[in-house]
Amino acid sequence: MTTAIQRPTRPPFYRDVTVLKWVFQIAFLIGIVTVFWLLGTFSIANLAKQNLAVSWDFMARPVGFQVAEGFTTFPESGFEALLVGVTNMLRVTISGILAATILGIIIGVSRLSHNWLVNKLATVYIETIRNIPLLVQIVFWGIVVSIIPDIVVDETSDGSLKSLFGLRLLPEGWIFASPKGFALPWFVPTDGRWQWVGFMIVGAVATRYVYRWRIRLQEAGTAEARAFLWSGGVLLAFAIVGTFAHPVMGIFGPVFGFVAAFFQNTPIIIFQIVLAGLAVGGAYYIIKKRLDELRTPAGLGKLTDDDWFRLVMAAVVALGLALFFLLQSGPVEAIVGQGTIFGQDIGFSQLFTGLENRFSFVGGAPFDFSLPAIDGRFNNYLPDAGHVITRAYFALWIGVVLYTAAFIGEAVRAGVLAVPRGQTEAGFAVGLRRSQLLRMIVLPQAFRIILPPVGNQYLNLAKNTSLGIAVAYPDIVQVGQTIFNQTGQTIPIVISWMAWYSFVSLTLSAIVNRWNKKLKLVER
Amino acid sequence: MKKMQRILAVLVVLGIFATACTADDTAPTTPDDTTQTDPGTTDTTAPGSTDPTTPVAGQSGGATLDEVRARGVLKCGVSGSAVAFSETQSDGSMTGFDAEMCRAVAAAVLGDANAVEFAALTAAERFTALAAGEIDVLIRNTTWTQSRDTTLGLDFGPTTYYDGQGVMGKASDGFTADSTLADVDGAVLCTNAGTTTEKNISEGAAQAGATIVLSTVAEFPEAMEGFKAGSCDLVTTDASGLVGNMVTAIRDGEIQEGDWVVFPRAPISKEPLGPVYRQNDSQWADIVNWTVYATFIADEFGATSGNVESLIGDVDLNPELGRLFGVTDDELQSTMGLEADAFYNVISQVGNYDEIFTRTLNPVGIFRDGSYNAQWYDGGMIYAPPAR
Amino acid sequence: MADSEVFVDTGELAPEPPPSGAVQWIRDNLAYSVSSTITTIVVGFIVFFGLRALIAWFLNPFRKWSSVTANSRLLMVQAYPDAQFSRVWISVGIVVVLAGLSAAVWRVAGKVSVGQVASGLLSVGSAALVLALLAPGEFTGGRGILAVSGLAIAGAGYLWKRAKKASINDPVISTVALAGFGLVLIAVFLWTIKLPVQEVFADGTKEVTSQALANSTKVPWTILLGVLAASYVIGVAIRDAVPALRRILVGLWALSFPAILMVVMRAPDIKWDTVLSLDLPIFLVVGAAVGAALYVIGAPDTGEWKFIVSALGLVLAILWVLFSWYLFDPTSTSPFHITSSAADVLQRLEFKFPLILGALFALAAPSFGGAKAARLQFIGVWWAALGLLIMSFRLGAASSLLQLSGTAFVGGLALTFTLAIAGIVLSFPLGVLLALGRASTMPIVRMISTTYIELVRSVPLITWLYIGSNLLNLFLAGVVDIDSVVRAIIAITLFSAAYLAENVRGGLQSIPKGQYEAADAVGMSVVQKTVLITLPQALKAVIPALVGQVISLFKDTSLVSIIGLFDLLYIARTVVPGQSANLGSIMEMTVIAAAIYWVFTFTFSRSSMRLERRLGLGTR
Repeated sequence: MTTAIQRPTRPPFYRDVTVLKWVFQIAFLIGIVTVFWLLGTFSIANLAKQNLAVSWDFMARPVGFQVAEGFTTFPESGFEALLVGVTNMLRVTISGILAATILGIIIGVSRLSHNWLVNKLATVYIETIRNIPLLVQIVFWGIVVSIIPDIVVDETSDGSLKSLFGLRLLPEGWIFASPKGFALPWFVPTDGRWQWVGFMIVGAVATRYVYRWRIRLQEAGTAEARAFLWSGGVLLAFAIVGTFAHPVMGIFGPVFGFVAAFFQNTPIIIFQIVLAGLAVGGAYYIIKKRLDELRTPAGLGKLTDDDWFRLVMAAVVALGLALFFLLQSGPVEAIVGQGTIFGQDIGFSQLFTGLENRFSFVGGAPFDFSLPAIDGRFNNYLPDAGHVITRAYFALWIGVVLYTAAFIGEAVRAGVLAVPRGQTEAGFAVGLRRSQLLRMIVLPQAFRIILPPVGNQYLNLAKNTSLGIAVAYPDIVQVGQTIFNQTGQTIPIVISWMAWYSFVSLTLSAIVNRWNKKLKLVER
Repeated sequence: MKKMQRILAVLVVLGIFATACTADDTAPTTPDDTTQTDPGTTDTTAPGSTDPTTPVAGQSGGATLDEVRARGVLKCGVSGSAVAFSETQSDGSMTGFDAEMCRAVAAAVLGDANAVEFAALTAAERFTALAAGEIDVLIRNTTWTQSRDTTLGLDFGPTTYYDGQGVMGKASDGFTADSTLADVDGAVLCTNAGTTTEKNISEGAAQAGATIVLSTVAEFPEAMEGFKAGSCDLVTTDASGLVGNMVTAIRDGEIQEGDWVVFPRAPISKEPLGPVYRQNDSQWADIVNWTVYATFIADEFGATSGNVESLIGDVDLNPELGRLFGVTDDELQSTMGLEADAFYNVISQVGNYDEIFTRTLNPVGIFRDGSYNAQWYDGGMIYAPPAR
Repeated sequence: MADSEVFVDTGELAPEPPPSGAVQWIRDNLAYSVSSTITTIVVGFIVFFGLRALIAWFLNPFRKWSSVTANSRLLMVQAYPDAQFSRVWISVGIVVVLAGLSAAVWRVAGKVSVGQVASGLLSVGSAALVLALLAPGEFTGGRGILAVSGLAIAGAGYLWKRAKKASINDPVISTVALAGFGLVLIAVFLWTIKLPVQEVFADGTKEVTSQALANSTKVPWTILLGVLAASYVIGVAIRDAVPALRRILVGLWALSFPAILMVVMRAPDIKWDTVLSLDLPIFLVVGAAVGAALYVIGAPDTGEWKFIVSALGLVLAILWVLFSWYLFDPTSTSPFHITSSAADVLQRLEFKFPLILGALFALAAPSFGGAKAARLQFIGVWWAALGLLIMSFRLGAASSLLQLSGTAFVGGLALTFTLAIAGIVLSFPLGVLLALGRASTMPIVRMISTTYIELVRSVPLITWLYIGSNLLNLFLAGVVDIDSVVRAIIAITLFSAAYLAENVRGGLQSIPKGQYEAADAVGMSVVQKTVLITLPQALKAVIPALVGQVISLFKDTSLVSIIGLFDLLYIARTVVPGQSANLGSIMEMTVIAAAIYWVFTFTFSRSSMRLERRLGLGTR
C-alpha cells in the first residue's frame, strides 16, 4: 500500500488512507466487542433464569460418576475427571499417530508396488476408507469389535489366542482375544521407572553429542561415520545399562526436594517481581529485535502503521501482564505452588515434590514383564496384568488409525512420485543399488514433500479422537459432556475444550514446523 | 452542474429513508394488527402452520394454553427411539405409549388428537428444550426425581408408567429371575453413558458388596448388541426396555424363551415416568394432569373409545363419567380453560389408559396384570383423584 | 475447452503384442521375484479369508435386511408427509433435469473402446462369481443369484472380447450409449427385482415377504430416468443454438438449492396480497431510488463527496436498523424487545436490509461505475440483488404449509445434503472475507481474522456443534428462537468458513506480484483490485481444494447425529434399531449408511478428479 511518491500536502482526513483505515478498524473492533458483550449479557441473563451462574466450582467438587477407563475410574473432582479425559485422549493420539504412520507408509508403498494383488488391495483400501465418514467407521468398529474374534481367531476355551487362521503363533496364554476386548503381554512400569526415564534423558543428551561428533568426522572426511548406527548404539547402551544402574539417578531426589522447598518458602513478592520483570524484559527483547530488523544501513526508516501497531501492542501487553503479576498474588501463588487453582495443588512446588518422591533411591527393575490373565466366572481380564485394550478404545483407535493411514498413504505415494525421474536415473547411473537409491536419493527428497501433509494428518488425528464420544470412549469431550449434563456448566466446559485442543494443535504444529524448517535447511 | 448532482444525491438518500420509514410504520397497521409484525400472517390459524408472532413463554406464567391454541398444534417432546414408548416408524410417524399420551393432551386442548408436532429429543437436550420453550410438554420416559423437580425450573405431572431399573443376564451364566445384585460380582455390565441408570447400578452393586466392570456405550441398542455377542455379561436399563428387547429377540428367533432373564424381583431403583412441563403455569399443569387422570378414570369406570359415544347418550351414565365428559356439568373443564367435551375427545380419539397400554406395550411383552401399573383396586398404583 | 473429446489410443502405435496368457500374466504381476511370490501368497490368504467372512456375513439368513428396505424412505427424507410427497419427486426432478442438461452442455460424453467394455464386464462378472464361490454354505438364495449372474456377466464379457478379437480394428462406442443402456437396465431392475418387505401387525408380530424393489417408487423413478435421458437429448439439441447456456446453467444450479429447500420442499405459505401490497412497492421504490442514486454516484467525473454521501448512508442505515426500536418504542430495552421466532425477526428486518444493501452498493458504485454501459450493468446487478433479498425474506418469514409429524421438514439423507450444501454456500462469503482479512495490511482486522481462523481450526467440529446446540440457545434465548437444524447449520458454517479461508488464502498467495503492480499501474482502487483482479484468480486456483472441502464437509455432517439431529446416521444407528419391529438391526443399518455415504463421496471425488484434469490444474 505504501507508495514511494511523497505527496506535497496531506489529503483531507476523509481521504487519508491511514485515517480511514484506522477509523474502519476501530469501528470493526467496537462492533465485534459489542456483539460479544451482547451475547455475554444475554447468556448470563438466561442462565440466571435457570438459577445458574457461570462458575468453575465443579472443578474442585466431587463429580459423582464413574469414568469407564483411565488412570483412575473414580475421579475425586471435576478437574481430575477432565484430566482423565486428557490422558485418555493423549493415549489414543500418540499410539494412533505411531500406528497410522507405519500403516500409512505400508499403504503408500503398496500403492506403488508392482505386485498386482498388493497394489489393488491398497487401492481398494484407500478408496473405501477415505470415502466413508470416520464417525460411521468408529460406530461400525464399536459394534463389530465383539465379533472380530469369531472370524479370525481360534480360541481356547478361556479366550486365549491359540492360533491365527490355524497357524500356531505364540505360546498359549500370551494373547487373549474375546468379545470383551484384547489383552497383550506388556511391560508394566514399576516405581523405578522415573529414575530410568531420568537416566534415558541423560542418554538422549549424550546421544546427541555422539551424533554431532560422528557428523563432524564425516565432514572432515576421515572415515565413513555411520552416525545413525553410533547414536542408536549409544542410546541402546544407556537403555540397557539404565535398567540396572538407574538408582544412580536417586541423587537428583534431594536436588528436586531443594527446588520444591525453594518454591514453597520464598516470599511470594519475589516471584511476582521476577515474573513482571520477565514480561517487561520479553517485550523489550521483542521490540528491540523488531527495530533491529527494520534498521537499514541508512538508519531507521519510516515505520508503517502496521509496525507501530506491533510495537505498541507488545509494550501494552507486557505492561498489562507485569501489572497483573504485581497486583494479583493469587495466580502467582498458584503457579509456584503456594496456593491452589480450582482447589488443586498443581504448582511448581508440588511438581518438584512429586519428582523428589519418585527419584528417591528405589531399587529393582524399572519395568515388570507381565502376561495377561483372566479371572472369575465371566472370564474378565485382570486390569493390572498385561495390557488390556477395551472395546471403546479399540473401536476409536482402529477407526482413526485406518482412516488417517489412508490419507498418509496417499501423501507418501504422492511424495515418492514427486521425486523427479532424473534423480532415480542419475542414481542408477552412478551405480547405486536399489536399496541405496531409495535410502539415499528418493526417500530424503520425498520426505520433504511428505512431511507437511502428514503433519496435517497428525493434527486431524488428534482432533478426530473427539469422535470417541460415539462409542462412549471417555476422552475430554465425553467426560466434559457428562459434567455439563450434570452441572449445567456448559460455558466453562467449552472453554476447557477450546484451551486443551488449541494447546494440542499449537504444540503439534510447532513440532511439525520445526521439522519442516530443519529439512529445508538441509536442502540448501 | 456538480452542485446540482450533489443536492440530488442527498435528496435521493433522504427519500429512500422516508419511503422505507413509511413502509415500516404504516403498512403493518392493518385493522386487526396491534404489534409491529407481519401483516401477512396475522390471519394464519391453519393447523400445522407456525405463527411467527407468538411469544415463547420461557418464564411467564399461564401462557402455554393460549400459545398452543393460537398455534393450533401441540409441540410434544418425545424420545423417538424408545422401544414401545416412542418409536419413529418407517413412514416417519410417531407411535408408542408416550406418543399416545401426547395425542391425549392434544385431543383435550385442541379437540384433535392428530394436532401434535413431535420433537424427538436426546436425553441431554430434553430439559433445555422444555425450558427454552421449544416444546409445550415433555413426555419422554423421564424419571421424576427430587433434583429434577426442584432445580430445573420444571414440574412433573402424574406418573403414567411405574418402571424400575432391572438387569438382564443369560441363563447360561447361571442367572435366574431370583438372582440378586450380589450375584453380579465380577461381571461386565453395559449401559448407555451419562444416564441415571449408570449411577444407580454403581451404587446398588456397591451396596450389595459386588464389584462390577462398567462398560458404557453411546446408545442402548449398542449395549444390546454387545450383550448378544458376549462382550457384555449383563445389560441394565428400565425393566420395560429389557423385557421389550427380550420379547422381540424371542419373536425373531434369535433366542429361546428362558435364555435371558431379567432380575432382581424388586427393581434396583424406582423409575416413575410421567409428563413434565414448565413451572409457574398452573393452568397448563392442571390440563396435563387431568388429561392423564381422565384416561385413568375412564379405565376405572369402563369407558373406552368404542363405547364412549353410546355412554354419553345413556341416561344411567355414571355421574363421575358424566362430569368428566361434560355431559352433566361443564364447569369442571371450562374453569381450567378447556371445552366441556375435552375429555370426551380424549377418550373417543385416543382411548382410556388400559387401551393405550394394551395397544402400545402388550406387543413387546409388557402387561399390566400384577404390576404397579394395574388399577389401585387390582393391587396396582394407578389411582386418579375423583372428578367432581 | 473446444477440443474436449477424449482421444483414444487406437492402437497404431502399439508395440508388438507381448506374450499373453494367464501364466505369463501371473509371472509378470504376481510372482516376478521370490519376495513378491511370498507377498502374493500371504496377501492372497488374507484377501481370501476376509472376503469369505464378508460374504458370509452379508448372506447370513439372520441378517435383518428387511429393516433397511422397510425404512428406506425414513433414511432418505425422514418424515416427509405422504400427501405432499410429489414435492420430493419434483426436487429430485429439478436436479435430474439440470444434470442432464449440464452433461450435454459440458460435453461429458466420451468414447470408450469395445474391448474396454468387454474387459470391464469380464472383471465385474468374475468378481461376483469369485465372491459367490468363496461364500460358505449352500448354493441357494443370494449366493446362487450372485453366482449365476456373475457367471452370465463374465461369460458375456468373455464372448464379446473373443468376438472383438476376430475383427481387426478396435471399434469405439459412445459412453452416452452405455449410460443409456445402464438407465434401461436400472428401470428393468426396478420393475423386476424382489426384495424383502416387512409387514408389522397390531400384536407385534411381523411378516417378511418378497416384493418388487421400491414398489411405491418404481413409477416416479422410471419417469425420472426418462426425464434424465430427455433432458440430455434436449441439451444436445440446443447447446449450439444458445451460446449463453453454460452461464445460464451455472445460475440455475446456484438457484436450484435454495429453490428446492425453501420453495419446493418447505411449501411456504406465501400471501400474495402481502407480496403485492408490500414487497412489490418496496422493491420498486427502493430499487428505483437507489438505482437513480447509483447512476449519479457512479458517474466518473463526480468528486469525492460521493464517498461521504454513501458512507453516511451506510452508517445511517445500520444505526437505523439497530435503533429504530428505540426510536419508535422507547420503552423497549433491546432491538428485539420480545422473544421472537426467527420468522418474526426476519419479517421485521425485511424493511431494513434493502437499505443496508443499497448503501453498500452506493459505496461500491465509484469502483464499478464509469461509462454509461458499466453503470447500467451495475444497476442491473443491484435490482437483481434487491429482488433476491426481498424474496428470501418473504420466503424465510412465511410459514410452512406442511403437516409434519416431526419438527424439521428435512431429515435423513436430505438433511445430510442440506447441511453440507448450506454449510459450504453460506461459509463461502465469510471464508473469502476472512481470507482477505488475514491477508490485509490492517493490523486489527488481520489479528481478529487470524485468531478466528486458527481457533476454529484447532478445535474439533464436534465441539462447535455442541456450542451450536447448547450455547447458541443460551446466548439467544429470549431474543430469537432458532430451530435446531438452523443452529447446526450456523455451527457448520462458522467452522467451514475458517477452512475455506485457509484454502482461499493459498489461492491469494499464488497470485504473482506483477498482477498487483499492474492493477496499481492502471490506477485501480483497493475494491476494484480485490474484486476484479485478485479474487477471480485466487478462486480459480483453489477450485480443487474447495471441491475437496465439499467432500469432507459432506462426511463431517454425520457428526450432527451426536447432537441428536435426524440425519442419515442417526436414523440408521438410533431410530430404526429403536423400532420394536427392527430391534437388533443396528449392524445392518450402519453398514447401509456407510454404503450410502460411500456412493456419494466416491462419485464426488471421481468427478472432482475429472474436473481437475479439465481445468489442467493437476498437471503441470
